[in-house]
Amino acid sequence: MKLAKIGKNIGMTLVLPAAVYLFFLLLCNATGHTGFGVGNDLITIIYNAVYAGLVAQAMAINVTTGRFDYAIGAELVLATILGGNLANTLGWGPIGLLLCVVLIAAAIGAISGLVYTALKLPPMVVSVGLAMIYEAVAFMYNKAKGVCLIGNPMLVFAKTGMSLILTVVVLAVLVVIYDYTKIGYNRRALQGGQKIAVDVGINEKRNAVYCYVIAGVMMGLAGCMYLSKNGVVAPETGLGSASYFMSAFLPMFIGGIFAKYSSYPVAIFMGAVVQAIITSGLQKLGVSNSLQTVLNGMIVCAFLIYSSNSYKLVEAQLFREKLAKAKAARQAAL
Amino acid sequence: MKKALALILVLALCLCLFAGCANNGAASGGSENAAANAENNAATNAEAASGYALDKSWPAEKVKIGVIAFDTTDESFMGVMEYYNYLAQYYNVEFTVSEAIQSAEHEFQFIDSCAAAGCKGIIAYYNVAGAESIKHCTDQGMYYWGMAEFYESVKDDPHFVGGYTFSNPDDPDAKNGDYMGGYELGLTMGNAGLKHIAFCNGGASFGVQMFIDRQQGFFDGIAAAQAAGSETQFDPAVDVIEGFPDEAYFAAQAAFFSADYDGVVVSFDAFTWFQPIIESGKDIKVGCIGTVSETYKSFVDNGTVIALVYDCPEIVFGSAFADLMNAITGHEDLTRTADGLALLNPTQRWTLSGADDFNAVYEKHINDESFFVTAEQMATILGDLNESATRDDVCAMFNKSLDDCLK
Repeated sequence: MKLAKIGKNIGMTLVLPAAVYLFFLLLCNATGHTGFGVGNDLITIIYNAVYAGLVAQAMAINVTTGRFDYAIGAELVLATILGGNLANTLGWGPIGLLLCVVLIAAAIGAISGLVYTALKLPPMVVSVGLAMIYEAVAFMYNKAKGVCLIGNPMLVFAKTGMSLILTVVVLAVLVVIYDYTKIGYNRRALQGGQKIAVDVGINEKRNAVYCYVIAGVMMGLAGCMYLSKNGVVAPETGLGSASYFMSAFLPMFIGGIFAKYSSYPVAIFMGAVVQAIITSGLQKLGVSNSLQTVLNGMIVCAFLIYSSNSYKLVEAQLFREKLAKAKAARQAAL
Repeated sequence: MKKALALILVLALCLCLFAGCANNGAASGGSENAAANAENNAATNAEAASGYALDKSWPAEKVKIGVIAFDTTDESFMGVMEYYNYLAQYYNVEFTVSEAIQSAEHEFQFIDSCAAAGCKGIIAYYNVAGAESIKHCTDQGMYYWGMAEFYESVKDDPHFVGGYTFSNPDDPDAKNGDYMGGYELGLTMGNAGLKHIAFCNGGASFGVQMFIDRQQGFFDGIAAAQAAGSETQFDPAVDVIEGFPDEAYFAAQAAFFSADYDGVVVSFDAFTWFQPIIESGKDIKVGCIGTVSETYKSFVDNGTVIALVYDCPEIVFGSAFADLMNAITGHEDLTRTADGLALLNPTQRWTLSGADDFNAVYEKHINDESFFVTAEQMATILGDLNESATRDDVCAMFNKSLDDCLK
C-alpha cells in the first residue's frame, strides 16, 4: 500500500515534464524539426531548468508566506559582481567563486530580511527600495564594469554535470529544511495563518530572516550559473534587475499544484523543467519570440486559473461522494 | 532603532537615486589621469590655437548640461560619458545624467528636473518621446542636441541646435546609421570567407526601429556580398536568432552550436557569445555592434571578432558639446545653416575590421587615455575661444574616418 502510494507520487511528480517532453518530441518529429531534447538542446534544457529552478526557489520561499521580494534580481547582480571579482582577485578557483558569491548573497539576503522585519512596511515596498540600493551599489563598484570572467577556468557551474550535482544537493538540502526542520514547520504554519502561528509562539521575524537568507543563497547559486554560462554580469539600474526573476513564476505555480505529490522544492524544480522544455520546444518549432511570450503568458494564466480554482474540483468530488452516499442510504432505507 | 534604520534607508535610497547620475567622476575612469597627463602640453597647444588655458575658467559661469540615456550601464554610453567628463576637466561645465529612461513621461520628468536645476542644454543620447521631447525642452529655454530622426519637424526651432547624422544630408535616398551599420556587418562578414552565418536581431521582432534598420541593413549587406560572388550561406527565414539573452535565446544558441555555423553577427554587443564559443571549442567568427574595451580586445586579437561597428564617442557625440556651448555662449551662427536652420553634423560610424583597426583605437583610448578630439582641439571650434571658428570647422572636426584620425 505504502509502495503503491510512493509509486503514484513519483509518477505524478514526473508525469507533467514527461508528457510535455513527449508532446514536443512528437510535434517536432511530425513537423520535421530534428534535434529537440538531445545533444546541445538537452544541455540547454538542463541549464535553463536549473537556473530557473533556483530563482523560483528563491522567489517561492517568501511569496508563499505573503512576502513578494522584488530585490532578488538585484541580490543576484550584486552578489555575483562582488563575489566574482573577489574570487578572481584571490585566485580561488570554482569552489572559491561559489563560496564568495553564495556567502555574499546570503549576507545580502540577511540584510533584506532584517530591514523588512525592522521596518514592518509592506514587503513589496521594502524590497523595491532595497533593489534600488543593491543596483546602485553594483553600479558604483568597479567603475560600473560589473564582472567579466570570460574564458576563466573557474566558470564550471553551467556544465551539465555540475548543474545536476548542484540540483541534487540543493534539492536535498531544501527538502530537509522544508519538511524536517523547525524553519520549515514554522514557515508552513505562517503560510497557513500568520496571526494564529504568531499567537501559538512562532517567531515570525526570525523565520522571515531565515527565509530571506535561503532566498539569497539560491540567488547566489543562480548567479554562479549565469556567470558560468555567459562569462559576464553587468550592473543594472532603474529596477532592470527584475528581468533576472521573470522566469520564476511558471515553475512556482506548477510547484504549488504538484507539491502534494512530493515536496514543494522538488515540485518547483519539476515546474522549471517543464518551462525549459516548453521554451526549447517552441524554439525548435521556429515560433517567433513574440508568440512565445504570448504562449508563455497563456500557460502561466492557465496554471494560475487552475491553482486558484482547484479547490472547486475537490469540492465537487466531495459533493459527488456525499450525494452517492446519500443515495445509497436512501436506497437501503427503501 | 526602527526610526534610525528607516532614516538610514531613506538616505541610502536618496543616494542611490544619484548612482546613475554620475557626473565628473563615477564613470570617468581614467579620464582624470588623462587630464593630468595631458594637461601641460595640451594647455600650451590650446593657448597657441585659441588663447584658452584649459583651466576651467571658461565659461565664467558654470554651464550645466543634461544627458538623456536609455541604459546608464551600457558600455557605449559609458564611453560617451567618459569623454564628456574628460572635457569637464578643462571647461567649466557639469553633466547630469538621467536614469535609464523607460517612457515618454519619464523623459519629460528628467527634462523638467534639468530645467529646475538650471541646465542650459540637453544632449539626447536617447529619445523616446520624439519631437515632443525636443519641444518640451526648448519651450523651457534649454538648447537641445539630438538624433537626426526628428530633425525635419524642429529644424527651425531656435533652441534646437541640431545633432549628428551618418547619412549624407544632401542625398534624399540615404539610409540611416543603423541600416548602414548592419549593412557594413553583412558585407564584411559576407566577404570573410565564412560558410554559414546566423544573425541575432535584438529587438527587431519586438518592433524596435533601430534593430529593424540594422536587420534590414544586414540582409542587404549579405545579399550584396553574395551577389558579388561570396558563397557565405544565410537564409533570413531560418538563420535569424530573435531577441536578447534569456531562456529562448539560449535555446536558439544551443541550436546554433549544434549546426554547421562558423559565424554569427550580433546587432548589439556580443558578450554573451564569447563564453559559449570557448565552451564549444569551435572556430566561430563574430561580427557585432560594440565598443573598444578590454572585454573585446582579447577576442579581436585572437581573431574571433572580425568586424566591429563602432561609434567613436568623441567623433559621433563630440559635436554635442561644441554645438551646445556655442549656442549657450551666443554663437548660434556656428550651429545653423545660412538660412537659420539647425544643422546636422555629418559624422562616421567606423567599422573596425581586424586587430590593427581595433588596436589603434584601443591604444588611443585605453593605453594613452586620450581622445581623437582633444580638449584643446575642441577649443579651436568654440566661438568664444576662437573668433575665426566657422561652421565648416565644426563639421570637419567630427566628420572623420579612423584613417583620418590616425594620419
